[in-house]
Amino acid sequence: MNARRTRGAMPLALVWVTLTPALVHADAVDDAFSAGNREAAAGRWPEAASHYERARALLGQPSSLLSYDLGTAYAQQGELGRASFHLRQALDFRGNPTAQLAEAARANLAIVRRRAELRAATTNAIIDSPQSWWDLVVETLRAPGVGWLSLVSGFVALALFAWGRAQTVRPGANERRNAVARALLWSLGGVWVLTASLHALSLRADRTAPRAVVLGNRVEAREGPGSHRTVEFAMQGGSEVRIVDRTPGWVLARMSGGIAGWVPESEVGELDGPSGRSP
Amino acid sequence: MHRDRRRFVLGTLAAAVALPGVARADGLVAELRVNTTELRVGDELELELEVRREGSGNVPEPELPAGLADAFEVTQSFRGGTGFQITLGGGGSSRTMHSSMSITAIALKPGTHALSFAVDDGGKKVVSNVVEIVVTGAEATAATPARPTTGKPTAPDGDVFVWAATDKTEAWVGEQIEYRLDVYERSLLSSVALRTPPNFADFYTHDLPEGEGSVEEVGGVVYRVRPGMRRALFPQKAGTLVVGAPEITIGRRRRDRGAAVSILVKPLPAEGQPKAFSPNNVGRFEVKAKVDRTAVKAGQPFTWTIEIAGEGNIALIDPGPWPELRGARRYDPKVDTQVQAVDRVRGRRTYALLVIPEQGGRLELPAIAMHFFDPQTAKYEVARSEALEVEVEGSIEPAATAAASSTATPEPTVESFAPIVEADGLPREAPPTRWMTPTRWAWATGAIPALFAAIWGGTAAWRRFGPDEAARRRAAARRIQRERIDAATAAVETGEGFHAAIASLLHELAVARAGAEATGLPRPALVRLLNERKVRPEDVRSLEALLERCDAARFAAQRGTADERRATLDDALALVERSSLSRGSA
Repeated sequence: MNARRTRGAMPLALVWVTLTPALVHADAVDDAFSAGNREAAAGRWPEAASHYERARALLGQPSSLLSYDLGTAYAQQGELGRASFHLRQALDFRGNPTAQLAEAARANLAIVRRRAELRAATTNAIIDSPQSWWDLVVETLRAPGVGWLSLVSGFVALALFAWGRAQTVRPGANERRNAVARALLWSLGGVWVLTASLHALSLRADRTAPRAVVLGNRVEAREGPGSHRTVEFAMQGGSEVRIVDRTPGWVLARMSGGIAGWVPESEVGELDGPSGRSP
Repeated sequence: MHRDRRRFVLGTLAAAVALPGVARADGLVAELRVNTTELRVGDELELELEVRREGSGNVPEPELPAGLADAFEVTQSFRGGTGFQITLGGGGSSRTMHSSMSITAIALKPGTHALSFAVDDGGKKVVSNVVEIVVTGAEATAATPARPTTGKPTAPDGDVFVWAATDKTEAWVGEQIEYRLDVYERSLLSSVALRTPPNFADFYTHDLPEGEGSVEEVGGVVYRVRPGMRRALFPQKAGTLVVGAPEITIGRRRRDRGAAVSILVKPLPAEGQPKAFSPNNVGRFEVKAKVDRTAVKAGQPFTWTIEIAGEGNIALIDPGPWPELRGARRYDPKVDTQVQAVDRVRGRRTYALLVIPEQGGRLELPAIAMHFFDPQTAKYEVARSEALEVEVEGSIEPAATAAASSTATPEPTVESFAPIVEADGLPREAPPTRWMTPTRWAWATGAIPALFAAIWGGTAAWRRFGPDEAARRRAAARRIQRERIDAATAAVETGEGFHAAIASLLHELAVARAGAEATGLPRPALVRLLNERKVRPEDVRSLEALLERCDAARFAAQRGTADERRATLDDALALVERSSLSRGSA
């Protein structure tokens, strides 16, 4: 009788042992998030940010909601660089942002941007130029839709090409229909070459020089990696940069105008990492 | 005889080596040699003084020629020391003791100068030969020139000297003065260095370009001028201010000290002096103002840029206090200075003020007036920018603007952040994934040209190695033949269309065997043509019989039974597959 009970309890114990860490983990994330919310409601933004950071570390996956709250907490305490980084993360599709959340994140991001510009103007720091139509073009070229467009146009052009070759093999083909097909083939081929090359360039730029955000409020950029090197200029927190080179602990950050300087790796947060490199 | 002669020669040689003093015993000679006897004022003269004595005894060292200092300036002298020389020949030997001295001097006085030197030989004065030097050109004084503190040197000062001067000896406080320090050298000296730079304790200074070297004639003497230093000086107080004397080193041992320059600096006149006037506002200036936007929304910052340009101490220019703006916040300016130092210090200093309008309507930016003292006219002047206006749209809450001040940390509170989003817990949805990853896109994009190439190559190979026109025709005929047989087979039981299919099959077979000219021929002509084409007669007869059977069935409504049709089909197939009709046809 006892042996039967023991055998029956063993699977339950196994299930309990397997699931308990996950449950505890989930509770810890929610506890940290709730604690952050309580601190934020009380206006204690540094404490709120600290709890949100803990929840972020425990969660281990992108969450637009958490990024939004964390970015807003940083924005409220004047940490414009970190605020900008997390609010941008909140807009990442991998965090499942809702429409309302994305709208609020954009609104807060715009305020953070204006404040950063103001601060840069008065502290003699350099900030990246505001987004222009060209940036939108580059952003669009990077979008998956352009990749799809290039693939569809390429494969349709390929099909037309195959059909045209078959027509040339077969006697008595319709010349007029062939001319139309040729025109369509050249048009689609042109679309494919153009969109594929531009999309490839934008993907390559993201791969070789990933985008990042300056996290500190005012980060000094040096002529070389090392705190003993000469300071060349200062970057305003929240500026978008591209990381063009790395050494242990330091990255060479290039701003939109081409000016570049070495900054500590901890002072920039990468936007396009698996879930955004943790700053 | 030979032995006696050899003994005499050896004995004489030994005596000459062992006892040279015995051969020539007395005589002290002083000799003066020069490289030239005719030269111009300022030219170099090289002299060689030598004292020698034939035989033994001390040789006194030569002294400077007596008249040399009157008409020349000695720039270099070098004693060659003493030595001896043994001379063999003439049936004996001699030993000569000698002492020498080399002198380099620059001619200062025109005329004919007789030069000689004397040495004391144990109380007896020995005078050298006299060399007459003819010097032409204008006279130059050898004394240290009086160095005025302005302009350029007027009298030569040896082979190298340092010249320090200012462009004026009297100035106002804050007025720009040019100080220059040049090294004048007769020949190119590589080892001239500034040992003690001048002291500019009472001046604000700014470096000016040193400029290029040049060649100048100073008092009839040609000098190479090496620019050493150029500075713009701005006196910071009134009184007699002194720029310390510079000193240069020439080689290791020589030094030359320039003149200390004194400048009488007058205080700026009290009459007409504006209140809190900065003594750095001396020169000539103009003020301009501009805004980067003429229409903004309330709360939207714009930049109000004031530019002061002109000649003077632009780096320390004082524009005075900035005006307060009604209905707008103004932050401390971001200052940028661009100095152009060519012959004078001039440039522009830009003040970029960030302004955030808070009230709608027309924001007036007043004219900026800057007082300055013009040293040319010795009067105070005013440079004034134009007043500007900016249209402001909308308005922001006054409560939000109350805390702001013109020098506060720029953290406007006019905009509030969207609140945080509270939730019971964080959603644990798996992050969405997109099929279109960069890697997949790259593979798919790369596949397109590969497939293009494959299709291209495939069709090209098909053209090259695929069937020709005749083969394609034969294949088409076989396909039609198969269709007819299938139709006939399907109609065996019903008989519907059976004979028409068999007739068409056989007729096409006969036409294909007879060739293109058989097309459209009536049956007798077709039969004749088949006979001409060497078709076996029994096959032709069989064809005729089958065709007639088909005609009878089609036109005389004699379909017959299914077995009869099956037999007809078998006969037709035998004709198609095995007769001489099928050979050479499709």
